Amino acid sequence: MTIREILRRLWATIGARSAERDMQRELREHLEAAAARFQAAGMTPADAMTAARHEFGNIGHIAEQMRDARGFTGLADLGRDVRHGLRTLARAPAFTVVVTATVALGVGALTTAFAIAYGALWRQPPVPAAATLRLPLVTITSARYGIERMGWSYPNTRALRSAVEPVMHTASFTAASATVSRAGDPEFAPGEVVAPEYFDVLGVQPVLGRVFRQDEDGPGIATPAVVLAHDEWRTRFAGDSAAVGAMYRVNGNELSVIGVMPAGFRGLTNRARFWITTGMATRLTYVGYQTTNQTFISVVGRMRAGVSHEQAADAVHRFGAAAGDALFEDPPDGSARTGTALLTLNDARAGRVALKAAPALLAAVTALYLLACANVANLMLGHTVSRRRERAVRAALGGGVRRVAWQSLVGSLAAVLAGGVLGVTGAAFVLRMQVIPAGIWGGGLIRSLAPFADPGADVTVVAFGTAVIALTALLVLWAPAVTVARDSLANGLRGGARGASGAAATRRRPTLRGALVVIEATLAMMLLVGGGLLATSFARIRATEVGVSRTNVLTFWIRPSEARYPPNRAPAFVARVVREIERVPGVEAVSVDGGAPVAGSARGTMFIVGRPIPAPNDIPMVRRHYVAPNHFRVLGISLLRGRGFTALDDAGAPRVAVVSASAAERFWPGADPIGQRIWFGPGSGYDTPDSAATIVGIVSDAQYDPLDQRASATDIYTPFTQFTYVSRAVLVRTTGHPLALVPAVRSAVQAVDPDVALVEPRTLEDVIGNSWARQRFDAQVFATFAVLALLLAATGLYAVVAHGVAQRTREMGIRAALGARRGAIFGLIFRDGMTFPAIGVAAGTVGALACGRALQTLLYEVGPADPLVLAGAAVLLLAAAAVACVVPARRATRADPMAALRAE
Amino acid sequence: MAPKTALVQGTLDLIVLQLLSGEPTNGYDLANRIRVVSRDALRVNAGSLYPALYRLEARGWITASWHTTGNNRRAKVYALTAAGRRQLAADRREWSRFASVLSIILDGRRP
Repeated sequence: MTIREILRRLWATIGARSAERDMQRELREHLEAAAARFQAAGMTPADAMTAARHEFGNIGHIAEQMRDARGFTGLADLGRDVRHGLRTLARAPAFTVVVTATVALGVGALTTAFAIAYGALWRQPPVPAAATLRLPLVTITSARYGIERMGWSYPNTRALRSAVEPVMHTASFTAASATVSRAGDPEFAPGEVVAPEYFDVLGVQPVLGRVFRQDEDGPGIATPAVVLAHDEWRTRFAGDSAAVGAMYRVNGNELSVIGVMPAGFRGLTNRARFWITTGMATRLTYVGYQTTNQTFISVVGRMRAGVSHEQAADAVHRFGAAAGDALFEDPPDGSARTGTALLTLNDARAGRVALKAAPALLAAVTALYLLACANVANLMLGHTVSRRRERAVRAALGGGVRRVAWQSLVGSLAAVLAGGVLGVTGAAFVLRMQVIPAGIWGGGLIRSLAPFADPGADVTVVAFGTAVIALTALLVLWAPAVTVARDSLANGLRGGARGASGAAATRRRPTLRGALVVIEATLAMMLLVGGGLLATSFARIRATEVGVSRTNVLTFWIRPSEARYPPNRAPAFVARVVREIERVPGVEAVSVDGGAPVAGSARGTMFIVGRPIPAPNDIPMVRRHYVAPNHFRVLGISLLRGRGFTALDDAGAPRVAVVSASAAERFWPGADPIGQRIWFGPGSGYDTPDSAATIVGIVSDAQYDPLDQRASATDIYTPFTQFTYVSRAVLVRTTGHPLALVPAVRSAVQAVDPDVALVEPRTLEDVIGNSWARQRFDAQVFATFAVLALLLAATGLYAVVAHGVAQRTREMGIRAALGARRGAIFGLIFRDGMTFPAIGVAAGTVGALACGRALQTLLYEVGPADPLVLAGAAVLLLAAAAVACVVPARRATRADPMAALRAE
Repeated sequence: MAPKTALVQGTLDLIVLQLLSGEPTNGYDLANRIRVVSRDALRVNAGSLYPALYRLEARGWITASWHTTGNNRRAKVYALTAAGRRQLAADRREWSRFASVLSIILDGRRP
């Protein structure tokens, strides 16, 4: 078709109504001319017109052909076709509802999964030209720990900045949290400590006020400054533009608000509600921020125009090589290889778990989507075939073959589009409501960015959804369209049970519908196996013994600034907090620790007095706990030998320690550890053999690390009165419901220091439950998919078998007339129907075994080829298939021989 | 009555183009003209002619306009376009070539 033709046809579309009038008039003129001729030959006007019409032929038919020849049928005709299509749908409500619902399910699930993966792995933070941003890091590769990524110390960030300035503009940043308030009502909030040029590097402008200047980086500024995030400004200052210059308290210090950042920007950590400079951090959060050589600071850089990634990476590498050991707080031992790396934002954000879990989720959802499409395609094919005769009649009556074909597809297309739109809307809704937590897989340095979490639809997700809808329409309508196109008039009118699902089809000859059912069964089997494995993982992890008594325990964190309570003042502070909480009615016992059970613990090295100091690679790592005397009572850990801690084990008393049974077994196998002395190395408070603690007791094991890390329970406890950091998890055993005491406990804590907030008060049950949140999520999602897949596959099978039976009624009638028993007929249909799922189970098992290894990291104490799970999935699928086959099989046995023979 | 010969769609197009190359006319008169010029050998019915006219118009080889005829009727008149003339010339050449090839095969005569 030439351009001119296309334009002509488009013009025909636009001018459709006038073209229609045109055509009518032309035909009328023809008829009148013909009638005039007949009249001249002597007929009456009426007869002449009749003769003219008769001579002309089937006007309707010819008019249709003329419209066909013209090209696009015009908008008026399109409207007519759509209305006709909708009427057809209304006549088959079950079909329409099932098609729309199934498409909505498939499209919605796929779009949701894509949005989650997109937010976790690819969505760019709201900064301009995010592709030119890079994160330089230090790497240590050792045999013991593999590749570790480390940050920089503050002095190193300044040195790095100067060194790479020609190729990259850098700024440092760290996540920090502090108690913030405006006028009372303190709240523990996340923020960022940044170098003054941070916003400049990211290219983000404030919507109000200004950002930090270069000279505002020192601790001793006259009016310390803070920059607020948009949401923080709205909640604390009600969006008042007079907020600039107002006071804002951070960790008890008053800062002046100098600027507000745009909505949706929360820094690279994607959680910041406020920003302070590194200089202010030394006063507010960590006194050693600018001087310590601990490597905890991240750096972000923007490559200058024309600079390639390799050039920037080289510059960083040269700096690292020149700095040498100054990059590290403890020089790594000789066997470890050190280096630098330059990551893109996407590299920095994908945690290990996300990289494994996201593809698995996408694969499962795609399987479900394909299943849904297969089901809909199957339904469409059946629908198309059964309306074959109707189409033939309509074409014969003057519809024009092409018009009729197009019309029969329009209805189905409308149903698919409606289902697709419904699915995408549902996905946006689910994402917006954050029903599925976007950060479920944690993250690397940069946390995941949930689409739709900020106001405004995310264009990428909507575009993806639209593409999926188009793809679905293509997949689902292709086969019916081909079938319709191939139908000729004669075939349709001749009727009979021939065609894609004729007599032979469900039996021996492989057909498209049969193949689709097999595919569905295969996908369903694989999803069932996946769901079963993950559900088993979840069940096993839940059943794992944690070793603590988890009911009636309240947990929360207190995080006063270490600048205010360095380790030499921390024990007294913690002791006062513990005493105050103990006075609250309903509190049975209180303890503190570095963390709550299963939530993660602090580690340190351990040395035993009297034994030679091991080589650096062989120094054992143990879990360290600075606890209160009541710790074991709060958590229900039993004392096995010796004694626990008492009030007598205070600062001046001899240093003592308690070890767990596993620790005793590991370090003193077969001997009694009580009386042995241990110390922990630099920076722990037990630096040298002289400051060692004597072991006085052994307690039972408890799990302090997430269960899927399978850590060994080597725990060493020491009393907090003899050494502690001030940031503590507080564990309170209560008589009643733990959360009911939160207000009273909060008052108790604030009686000691009003600027200390209770962070994340939760019950211990919740904390433990959260530690397997990911396994629960995986299991729930996969199990849901598996159930849906089972339903879809079963209904798909039912549709095909039922349709086959309907087409074969005559055959069944003949068999019955020839004396076949009902049981034999039932068996025939049933066996024919069950062949598809049987093949599907076999193929699905092969597929599941092939993909099993990919799931391995997500599984807990269950192998990817677990025979119980495989067997269970097969049984479930075959049972569902059997149910789906039973109903049509029974209907076949009831075929009346006489009626069947009389039909047709 | 002369036997009606079955017409292939392509040849109908050629006939229409040829007959419109002389004088523009409407559908009714064109059908008559075909009958007359072929000395009653060909009778094209409305059901074939009108779709063919619409097809040719969609292709841009003929163009249509409304005229008022002698007895105050309005008639839609088709005329050949420049592109139509070119197409007609090309089709005629094709046909001669085809005819001569056919006669070689049928009669063994050299071109």
